Amino acid sequence: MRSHDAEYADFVRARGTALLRTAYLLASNPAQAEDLLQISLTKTYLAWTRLRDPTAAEAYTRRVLANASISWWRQKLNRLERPADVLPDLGVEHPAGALAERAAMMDALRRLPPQQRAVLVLRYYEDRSEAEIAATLGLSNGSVKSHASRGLARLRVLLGEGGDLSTTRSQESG
Amino acid sequence: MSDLEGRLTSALHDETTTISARPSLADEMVRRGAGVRRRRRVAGGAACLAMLAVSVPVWRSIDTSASRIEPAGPSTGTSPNAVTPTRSSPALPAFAAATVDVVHQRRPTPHVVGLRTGRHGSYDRVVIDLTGAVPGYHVAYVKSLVGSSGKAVALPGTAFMLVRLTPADAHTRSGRPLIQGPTTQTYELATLRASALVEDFEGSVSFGLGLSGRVQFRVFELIGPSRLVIDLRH
Repeated sequence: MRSHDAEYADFVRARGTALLRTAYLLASNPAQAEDLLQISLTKTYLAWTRLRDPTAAEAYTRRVLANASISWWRQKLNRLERPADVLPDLGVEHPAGALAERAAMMDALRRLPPQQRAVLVLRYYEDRSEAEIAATLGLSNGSVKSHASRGLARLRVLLGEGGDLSTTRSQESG
Repeated sequence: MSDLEGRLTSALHDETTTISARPSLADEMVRRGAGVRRRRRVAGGAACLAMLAVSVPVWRSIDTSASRIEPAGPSTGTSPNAVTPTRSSPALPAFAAATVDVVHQRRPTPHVVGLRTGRHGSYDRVVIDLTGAVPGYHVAYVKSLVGSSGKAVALPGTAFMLVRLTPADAHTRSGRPLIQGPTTQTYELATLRASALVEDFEGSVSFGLGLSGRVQFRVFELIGPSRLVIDLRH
Protein backbone atom coordinates (compact mmCIF):
# COMPACT_ATOMS: atom_id res chain seq x y z
CA MET A 1 0.00 0.00 0.00
CA ARG A 2 1.21 3.46 -0.77
CA SER A 3 1.93 5.82 2.04
CA HIS A 4 -0.37 8.70 2.86
CA ASP A 5 2.44 11.11 2.06
CA ALA A 6 2.79 9.73 -1.45
CA GLU A 7 -0.96 9.94 -2.03
CA TYR A 8 -1.02 13.46 -0.71
CA ALA A 9 1.96 14.47 -2.86
CA ASP A 10 0.16 13.11 -5.92
CA PHE A 11 -2.88 15.14 -5.02
CA VAL A 12 -0.87 18.36 -4.63
CA ARG A 13 1.00 17.66 -7.85
CA ALA A 14 -2.22 17.09 -9.76
CA ARG A 15 -4.33 19.85 -8.29
CA GLY A 16 -1.82 22.41 -7.00
CA THR A 17 -2.01 24.68 -10.01
CA ALA A 18 -5.79 24.62 -10.18
CA LEU A 19 -6.02 25.43 -6.48
CA LEU A 20 -3.42 28.17 -6.74
CA ARG A 21 -5.43 29.77 -9.51
CA THR A 22 -8.55 29.85 -7.39
CA ALA A 23 -6.52 31.17 -4.44
CA TYR A 24 -5.17 33.90 -6.66
CA LEU A 25 -8.65 35.04 -7.61
CA LEU A 26 -9.79 34.98 -3.99
CA ALA A 27 -6.77 36.85 -2.66
CA SER A 28 -5.82 40.42 -3.29
CA ASN A 29 -2.24 39.73 -4.33
CA PRO A 30 0.01 36.83 -5.31
CA ALA A 31 1.75 36.61 -1.92
CA GLN A 32 -1.57 36.27 -0.14
CA ALA A 33 -2.61 33.60 -2.63
CA GLU A 34 0.47 31.57 -1.71
CA ASP A 35 -0.25 31.87 1.98
CA LEU A 36 -3.89 30.95 1.52
CA LEU A 37 -3.00 27.87 -0.48
CA GLN A 38 -0.36 26.73 1.98
CA ILE A 39 -2.67 27.08 4.95
CA SER A 40 -5.37 25.16 3.12
CA LEU A 41 -3.03 22.42 1.94
CA THR A 42 -1.56 22.03 5.42
CA LYS A 43 -5.04 21.53 6.82
CA THR A 44 -5.74 19.02 4.08
CA TYR A 45 -2.55 17.14 4.98
CA LEU A 46 -3.60 16.95 8.60
CA ALA A 47 -7.06 15.73 7.59
CA TRP A 48 -5.75 13.33 4.95
CA THR A 49 -6.60 10.08 6.73
CA ARG A 50 -10.19 11.26 7.02
CA LEU A 51 -10.44 12.33 3.38
CA ARG A 52 -8.41 9.95 1.22
CA ASP A 53 -10.64 10.18 -1.81
CA PRO A 54 -8.96 12.85 -3.98
CA THR A 55 -12.28 14.43 -4.89
CA ALA A 56 -13.11 14.92 -1.25
CA ALA A 57 -9.62 16.29 -0.62
CA GLU A 58 -10.01 18.88 -3.33
CA ALA A 59 -13.44 19.96 -2.17
CA TYR A 60 -12.09 20.20 1.38
CA THR A 61 -9.13 22.31 0.30
CA ARG A 62 -11.37 24.63 -1.68
CA ARG A 63 -13.67 25.05 1.28
CA VAL A 64 -10.73 26.01 3.49
CA LEU A 65 -9.44 28.38 0.80
CA ALA A 66 -12.71 30.23 0.44
CA ASN A 67 -13.31 30.49 4.16
CA ALA A 68 -9.74 31.49 4.95
CA SER A 69 -9.92 34.28 2.40
CA ILE A 70 -13.03 35.61 4.08
CA SER A 71 -11.76 35.36 7.64
CA TRP A 72 -8.42 36.93 6.76
CA TRP A 73 -10.19 39.90 5.37
CA ARG A 74 -12.12 40.19 8.61
CA GLN A 75 -8.92 40.23 10.65
CA LYS A 76 -7.81 43.34 8.79
CA LEU A 77 -4.21 42.37 9.40
CA ASN A 78 -3.72 41.57 5.80
CA ARG A 79 -5.00 44.87 4.63
CA LEU A 80 -2.14 46.79 6.21
CA GLU A 81 0.30 45.75 3.57
CA ARG A 82 -0.58 46.28 -0.07
CA PRO A 83 2.38 45.52 -2.28
CA ALA A 84 2.35 47.42 -5.53
CA ASP A 85 1.28 45.30 -8.41
CA VAL A 86 3.72 44.94 -11.24
CA LEU A 87 1.68 43.64 -14.13
CA PRO A 88 3.24 40.72 -15.92
CA ASP A 89 4.38 41.36 -19.44
CA LEU A 90 1.60 39.96 -21.51
CA GLY A 91 3.16 39.93 -24.92
CA VAL A 92 2.55 42.11 -27.89
CA GLU A 93 -0.13 40.11 -29.64
CA HIS A 94 -2.68 40.63 -26.92
CA PRO A 95 -5.29 43.14 -28.02
CA ALA A 96 -5.02 46.16 -25.76
CA GLY A 97 -8.77 46.45 -25.40
CA ALA A 98 -9.12 43.00 -23.94
CA LEU A 99 -6.27 43.65 -21.53
CA ALA A 100 -7.71 46.90 -20.28
CA GLU A 101 -11.06 45.23 -19.87
CA ARG A 102 -9.53 42.39 -17.88
CA ALA A 103 -7.47 44.69 -15.67
CA ALA A 104 -10.55 46.79 -14.90
CA MET A 105 -12.55 43.67 -14.17
CA MET A 106 -9.94 42.21 -11.80
CA ASP A 107 -9.52 45.53 -10.07
CA ALA A 108 -13.25 45.84 -9.55
CA LEU A 109 -13.43 42.24 -8.32
CA ARG A 110 -10.76 42.90 -5.68
CA ARG A 111 -12.80 45.78 -4.32
CA LEU A 112 -15.80 43.59 -3.57
CA PRO A 113 -16.42 42.26 -0.07
CA PRO A 114 -14.78 38.82 0.22
CA GLN A 115 -17.97 36.81 0.38
CA GLN A 116 -19.32 38.36 -2.78
CA ARG A 117 -15.97 37.82 -4.43
CA ALA A 118 -15.80 34.20 -3.31
CA VAL A 119 -19.29 33.55 -4.66
CA LEU A 120 -18.45 35.15 -8.01
CA VAL A 121 -15.16 33.25 -8.34
CA LEU A 122 -16.78 29.91 -7.52
CA ARG A 123 -19.66 30.60 -9.87
CA TYR A 124 -17.92 32.13 -12.87
CA TYR A 125 -14.43 30.69 -12.62
CA GLU A 126 -15.09 27.24 -11.25
CA ASP A 127 -18.52 27.05 -12.83
CA ARG A 128 -20.09 25.68 -9.63
CA SER A 129 -23.80 25.40 -9.07
CA GLU A 130 -25.54 27.45 -6.40
CA ALA A 131 -25.95 24.38 -4.21
CA GLU A 132 -22.24 23.54 -4.42
CA ILE A 133 -21.28 27.12 -3.57
CA ALA A 134 -23.66 27.10 -0.65
CA ALA A 135 -22.10 23.88 0.65
CA THR A 136 -18.55 25.19 0.13
CA LEU A 137 -19.08 28.46 1.93
CA GLY A 138 -21.57 27.20 4.49
CA LEU A 139 -24.27 29.59 3.31
CA SER A 140 -27.88 29.07 2.34
CA ASN A 141 -28.86 28.96 -1.33
CA GLY A 142 -30.62 32.27 -0.88
CA SER A 143 -27.51 33.99 0.48
CA VAL A 144 -25.49 32.66 -2.44
CA LYS A 145 -28.03 34.15 -4.83
CA SER A 146 -28.05 37.50 -3.12
CA HIS A 147 -24.24 37.65 -2.85
CA ALA A 148 -24.01 36.85 -6.55
CA SER A 149 -26.54 39.44 -7.65
CA ARG A 150 -25.17 42.12 -5.33
CA GLY A 151 -21.65 41.32 -6.43
CA LEU A 152 -22.57 41.64 -10.09
CA ALA A 153 -24.46 44.87 -9.45
CA ARG A 154 -21.46 46.29 -7.60
CA LEU A 155 -19.13 45.22 -10.40
CA ARG A 156 -21.36 47.02 -12.85
CA VAL A 157 -21.11 50.20 -10.78
CA LEU A 158 -17.35 49.90 -10.31
CA LEU A 159 -16.90 49.38 -14.03
CA GLY A 160 -18.90 52.51 -14.71
CA GLU A 161 -21.80 50.64 -16.24
CA GLY A 162 -24.50 51.73 -13.80
CA GLY A 163 -28.08 50.84 -14.43
CA ASP A 164 -28.90 54.33 -15.76
CA LEU A 165 -29.57 54.98 -19.41
CA SER A 166 -26.13 56.19 -20.31
CA THR A 167 -24.37 52.86 -20.27
CA THR A 168 -20.89 53.90 -21.28
CA ARG A 169 -18.78 50.98 -22.32
CA SER A 170 -15.42 52.58 -22.62
CA GLN A 171 -13.52 49.36 -21.95
CA GLU A 172 -14.85 47.70 -25.04
CA SER A 173 -14.11 50.42 -27.49
CA GLY A 174 -10.48 50.69 -26.32
CA MET B 1 -26.09 34.80 -19.17
CA SER B 2 -25.67 38.55 -19.24
CA ASP B 3 -22.89 40.33 -21.04
CA LEU B 4 -21.22 41.22 -17.74
CA GLU B 5 -21.27 37.61 -16.59
CA GLY B 6 -19.66 36.49 -19.83
CA ARG B 7 -16.96 39.11 -19.55
CA LEU B 8 -16.33 38.25 -15.91
CA THR B 9 -15.96 34.58 -16.81
CA SER B 10 -13.45 35.35 -19.56
CA ALA B 11 -11.50 37.75 -17.35
CA LEU B 12 -11.21 35.18 -14.55
CA HIS B 13 -10.00 32.48 -16.90
CA ASP B 14 -7.59 34.70 -18.80
CA GLU B 15 -6.21 36.12 -15.58
CA THR B 16 -5.14 32.71 -14.30
CA THR B 17 -3.74 31.05 -17.39
CA THR B 18 -0.18 32.11 -16.61
CA ILE B 19 -0.29 30.89 -13.03
CA SER B 20 1.02 27.49 -12.08
CA ALA B 21 2.24 25.97 -8.88
CA ARG B 22 5.93 25.16 -8.52
CA PRO B 23 6.69 21.51 -9.24
CA SER B 24 8.34 21.21 -5.82
CA LEU B 25 5.14 22.30 -4.06
CA ALA B 26 4.03 18.72 -3.40
CA ASP B 27 7.24 17.80 -1.57
CA GLU B 28 7.29 21.07 0.35
CA MET B 29 3.77 20.52 1.54
CA VAL B 30 4.52 16.98 2.70
CA ARG B 31 7.49 18.26 4.74
CA ARG B 32 5.50 21.15 6.12
CA GLY B 33 2.51 18.96 6.98
CA ALA B 34 4.70 16.38 8.69
CA GLY B 35 6.37 19.19 10.64
CA VAL B 36 3.04 20.54 11.80
CA ARG B 37 1.89 17.11 12.87
CA ARG B 38 5.07 16.55 14.88
CA ARG B 39 4.87 19.91 16.58
CA ARG B 40 1.24 19.41 17.32
CA ARG B 41 2.07 16.23 19.19
CA VAL B 42 4.72 18.02 21.18
CA ALA B 43 3.25 21.40 21.90
CA GLY B 44 -0.40 21.39 20.94
CA GLY B 45 -2.23 23.75 18.69
CA ALA B 46 -0.20 26.91 19.22
CA ALA B 47 2.83 25.59 17.38
CA CYS B 48 0.58 24.60 14.52
CA LEU B 49 -0.59 28.16 14.10
CA ALA B 50 2.96 29.46 14.24
CA MET B 51 3.89 26.96 11.56
CA LEU B 52 1.03 28.09 9.37
CA ALA B 53 2.12 31.68 9.62
CA VAL B 54 5.52 30.95 8.11
CA SER B 55 5.29 31.27 4.41
CA VAL B 56 7.44 29.73 1.76
CA PRO B 57 6.41 30.99 -1.64
CA VAL B 58 4.61 28.44 -3.75
CA TRP B 59 4.44 30.78 -6.68
CA ARG B 60 6.48 29.44 -9.50
CA SER B 61 6.69 32.40 -11.78
CA ILE B 62 4.54 34.35 -14.09
CA ASP B 63 5.97 33.45 -17.42
CA THR B 64 6.50 36.60 -19.37
CA SER B 65 7.76 35.17 -22.60
CA ALA B 66 5.72 36.30 -25.55
CA SER B 67 5.54 32.74 -26.81
CA ARG B 68 3.01 32.00 -24.09
CA ILE B 69 0.36 34.27 -25.42
CA GLU B 70 -0.52 33.74 -28.98
CA PRO B 71 -3.17 35.06 -31.26
CA ALA B 72 -6.16 32.84 -30.73
CA GLY B 73 -7.04 32.57 -34.38
CA PRO B 74 -5.44 30.12 -36.72
CA SER B 75 -2.19 31.39 -38.13
CA THR B 76 -2.03 29.83 -41.51
CA GLY B 77 1.05 31.74 -42.53
CA THR B 78 4.56 30.90 -41.52
CA SER B 79 4.53 30.62 -37.77
CA PRO B 80 7.74 28.85 -36.89
CA ASN B 81 7.09 28.75 -33.17
CA ALA B 82 3.40 28.43 -32.62
CA VAL B 83 4.34 26.51 -29.52
CA THR B 84 7.64 26.57 -27.74
CA PRO B 85 7.85 23.65 -25.35
CA THR B 86 9.92 25.65 -22.89
CA ARG B 87 9.02 23.67 -19.83
CA SER B 88 8.65 19.96 -19.14
CA SER B 89 9.83 19.04 -22.58
CA PRO B 90 11.75 15.81 -22.50
CA ALA B 91 12.21 14.12 -25.85
CA LEU B 92 9.10 14.49 -27.97
CA PRO B 93 7.43 11.25 -29.02
CA ALA B 94 8.43 9.81 -32.37
CA PHE B 95 6.28 10.26 -35.46
CA ALA B 96 4.08 7.25 -36.21
CA ALA B 97 0.78 6.46 -37.88
CA ALA B 98 -0.58 4.41 -34.98
CA THR B 99 -3.53 5.44 -32.82
CA VAL B 100 -2.61 7.34 -29.65
CA ASP B 101 -4.76 6.69 -26.62
CA VAL B 102 -4.07 8.29 -23.23
CA VAL B 103 -6.41 8.18 -20.26
CA HIS B 104 -6.48 10.95 -17.65
CA GLN B 105 -9.21 11.18 -15.03
CA ARG B 106 -9.78 14.87 -14.33
CA ARG B 107 -12.02 16.80 -11.99
CA PRO B 108 -13.20 19.46 -12.53
CA THR B 109 -13.78 18.76 -16.20
CA PRO B 110 -11.16 20.57 -18.32
CA HIS B 111 -12.39 23.12 -20.83
CA VAL B 112 -11.42 23.24 -24.49
CA VAL B 113 -11.08 26.90 -25.45
CA GLY B 114 -9.57 26.91 -28.93
CA LEU B 115 -7.65 25.28 -31.75
CA ARG B 116 -4.68 26.87 -33.52
CA THR B 117 -2.54 25.71 -36.37
CA GLY B 118 0.82 26.59 -37.81
CA ARG B 119 3.28 25.40 -40.41
CA HIS B 120 6.69 24.19 -39.27
CA GLY B 121 9.73 22.87 -41.09
CA SER B 122 8.67 19.29 -41.66
CA TYR B 123 5.25 19.17 -40.09
CA ASP B 124 2.01 21.09 -39.53
CA ARG B 125 1.14 21.72 -35.93
CA VAL B 126 -2.31 21.69 -34.36
CA VAL B 127 -2.58 23.11 -30.84
CA ILE B 128 -5.70 22.60 -28.77
CA ASP B 129 -5.90 25.20 -26.01
CA LEU B 130 -7.28 24.06 -22.67
CA THR B 131 -8.05 25.43 -19.26
CA GLY B 132 -7.62 23.11 -16.32
CA ALA B 133 -5.57 19.93 -16.61
CA VAL B 134 -4.97 18.15 -19.91
CA PRO B 135 -7.79 15.58 -20.28
CA GLY B 136 -7.41 12.08 -21.71
CA TYR B 137 -7.19 11.90 -25.50
CA HIS B 138 -7.66 9.48 -28.34
CA VAL B 139 -6.13 10.39 -31.70
CA ALA B 140 -6.75 8.08 -34.65
CA TYR B 141 -7.38 7.91 -38.35
CA VAL B 142 -11.03 7.28 -39.17
CA LYS B 143 -12.99 6.57 -42.35
CA SER B 144 -15.46 9.36 -41.68
CA LEU B 145 -15.83 12.02 -39.02
CA VAL B 146 -18.86 11.10 -36.95
CA GLY B 147 -19.69 12.68 -33.61
CA SER B 148 -22.37 11.75 -31.13
CA SER B 149 -25.06 13.16 -33.40
CA GLY B 150 -24.39 10.25 -35.75
CA LYS B 151 -24.11 12.59 -38.68
CA ALA B 152 -20.84 12.57 -40.61
CA VAL B 153 -19.03 15.88 -41.01
CA ALA B 154 -17.63 16.45 -44.49
CA LEU B 155 -14.19 18.09 -44.65
CA PRO B 156 -11.74 18.60 -47.50
CA GLY B 157 -8.88 16.09 -47.61
CA THR B 158 -8.30 12.43 -48.40
CA ALA B 159 -7.52 11.16 -44.90
CA PHE B 160 -9.38 12.05 -41.72
CA MET B 161 -8.22 12.14 -38.17
CA LEU B 162 -10.44 12.26 -35.10
CA VAL B 163 -9.08 13.83 -31.91
CA ARG B 164 -11.32 13.03 -28.96
CA LEU B 165 -10.76 14.62 -25.54
CA THR B 166 -12.40 13.10 -22.44
CA PRO B 167 -13.35 14.37 -19.94
CA ALA B 168 -13.70 17.77 -21.55
CA ASP B 169 -16.29 20.39 -22.35
CA ALA B 170 -16.19 23.16 -24.91
CA HIS B 171 -18.99 25.05 -23.17
CA THR B 172 -19.67 26.33 -19.68
CA ARG B 173 -22.27 24.86 -17.39
CA SER B 174 -24.61 27.59 -18.55
CA GLY B 175 -24.12 26.57 -22.17
CA ARG B 176 -21.91 29.38 -23.39
CA PRO B 177 -19.55 28.07 -26.09
CA LEU B 178 -15.89 28.49 -25.13
CA ILE B 179 -14.39 28.41 -28.59
CA GLN B 180 -14.52 31.83 -30.19
CA GLY B 181 -15.15 32.19 -33.88
CA PRO B 182 -16.06 29.57 -36.44
CA THR B 183 -15.53 25.95 -35.39
CA THR B 184 -14.85 24.76 -38.94
CA GLN B 185 -11.75 26.16 -40.65
CA THR B 186 -9.85 25.44 -43.82
CA TYR B 187 -6.10 25.90 -44.18
CA GLU B 188 -3.54 26.10 -46.91
CA LEU B 189 -0.88 24.05 -45.17
CA ALA B 190 1.20 21.20 -46.54
CA THR B 191 -0.75 18.44 -44.80
CA LEU B 192 -3.62 19.97 -42.90
CA ARG B 193 -6.58 20.97 -45.05
CA ALA B 194 -9.33 21.63 -42.53
CA SER B 195 -10.46 21.26 -38.94
CA ALA B 196 -13.91 21.08 -37.41
CA LEU B 197 -15.45 20.67 -33.99
CA VAL B 198 -17.49 17.52 -34.50
CA GLU B 199 -18.61 16.82 -30.97
CA ASP B 200 -19.10 18.61 -27.66
CA PHE B 201 -21.41 16.34 -25.78
CA GLU B 202 -21.55 14.64 -22.38
CA GLY B 203 -18.02 15.43 -21.35
CA SER B 204 -16.42 14.53 -24.64
CA VAL B 205 -15.03 17.00 -27.18
CA SER B 206 -13.90 15.84 -30.63
CA PHE B 207 -12.17 17.63 -33.44
CA GLY B 208 -11.99 16.26 -36.96
CA LEU B 209 -8.97 17.03 -39.12
CA GLY B 210 -8.96 16.77 -42.91
CA LEU B 211 -5.49 15.83 -44.21
CA SER B 212 -3.89 15.51 -47.60
CA GLY B 213 -2.90 11.91 -46.86
CA ARG B 214 -2.40 9.35 -44.13
CA VAL B 215 0.76 10.90 -42.70
CA GLN B 216 2.69 10.03 -39.57
CA PHE B 217 1.92 12.12 -36.51
CA ARG B 218 2.89 12.65 -32.90
CA VAL B 219 0.84 13.84 -29.94
CA PHE B 220 2.05 15.44 -26.72
CA GLU B 221 0.88 17.53 -23.79
CA LEU B 222 2.11 20.92 -22.63
CA ILE B 223 1.32 22.62 -19.35
CA GLY B 224 1.18 26.22 -18.16
CA PRO B 225 -1.20 26.85 -19.92
CA SER B 226 -2.48 23.38 -20.73
CA ARG B 227 -2.37 22.39 -24.37
CA LEU B 228 -2.54 19.27 -26.47
CA VAL B 229 -0.30 19.32 -29.53
CA ILE B 230 -0.62 17.19 -32.66
CA ASP B 231 2.16 17.40 -35.23
CA LEU B 232 1.38 16.12 -38.72
CA ARG B 233 4.27 15.14 -40.98
CA HIS B 234 4.50 16.86 -44.34
